[in-house]
Amino acid sequence: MARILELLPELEGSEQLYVARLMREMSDEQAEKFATIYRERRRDPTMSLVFTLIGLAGLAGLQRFFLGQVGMGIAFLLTLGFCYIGTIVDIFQHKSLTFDHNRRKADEIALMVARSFPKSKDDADSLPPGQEDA
Amino acid sequence: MLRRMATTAKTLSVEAYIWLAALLALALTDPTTPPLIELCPLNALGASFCPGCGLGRAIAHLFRGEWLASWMMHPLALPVVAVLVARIGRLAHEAYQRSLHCSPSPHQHA
Repeated sequence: MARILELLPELEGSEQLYVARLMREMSDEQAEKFATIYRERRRDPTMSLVFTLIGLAGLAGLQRFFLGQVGMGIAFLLTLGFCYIGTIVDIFQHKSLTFDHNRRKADEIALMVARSFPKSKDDADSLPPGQEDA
Repeated sequence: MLRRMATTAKTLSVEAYIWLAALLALALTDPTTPPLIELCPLNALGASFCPGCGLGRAIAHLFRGEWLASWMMHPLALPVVAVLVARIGRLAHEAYQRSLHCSPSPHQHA
């Protein structure tokens, strides 16, 4: 938990918990690489909210494009966010929508980091016994 | 298997349930009766055109197999249903994957 506060202090709530759990399995080097890539690829929930609110002004679905859902984005755009209903639903769920996206990215990056930067033997040995279960 | 499905249902995000409920509600709607409440805020403000209006009735026509009526009501009904079903499928797939990872013993890899 201390590591995530140091490397990715901007995370909050369930995203923080989720990424902290991923980081527990990583060596220090892996955690640093992960943090750099994750910061580039994660989406900020506040930005999602801003994009959703633009939908109230008539340009709906930007939040869906922002989160990589092109199909949903086009559907929102062409139907004015299902007559505003979809837009209003998205205002309420902007946090979980963004978290879904970020969780997927975090999983991808964790896998990529584990493959590209394998844990060195020293790192694994230097952990005091029992710490990996903490 | 059953327990895995229950876990999937529990971890399935609210969004999937919202779209499912919307499609279900439209499947049970009779598109020919006038709506009980007018949901569209543009319409409530007196606008004569809204790009989304008629979509609900068009999807309800689709569920009854009335393709022509659906197209006349709103030509985007079929693509919208396809996109929503794809989104629900993707969310369900992710929830299922997560239910695999959150199996009873989380430390089995250690």
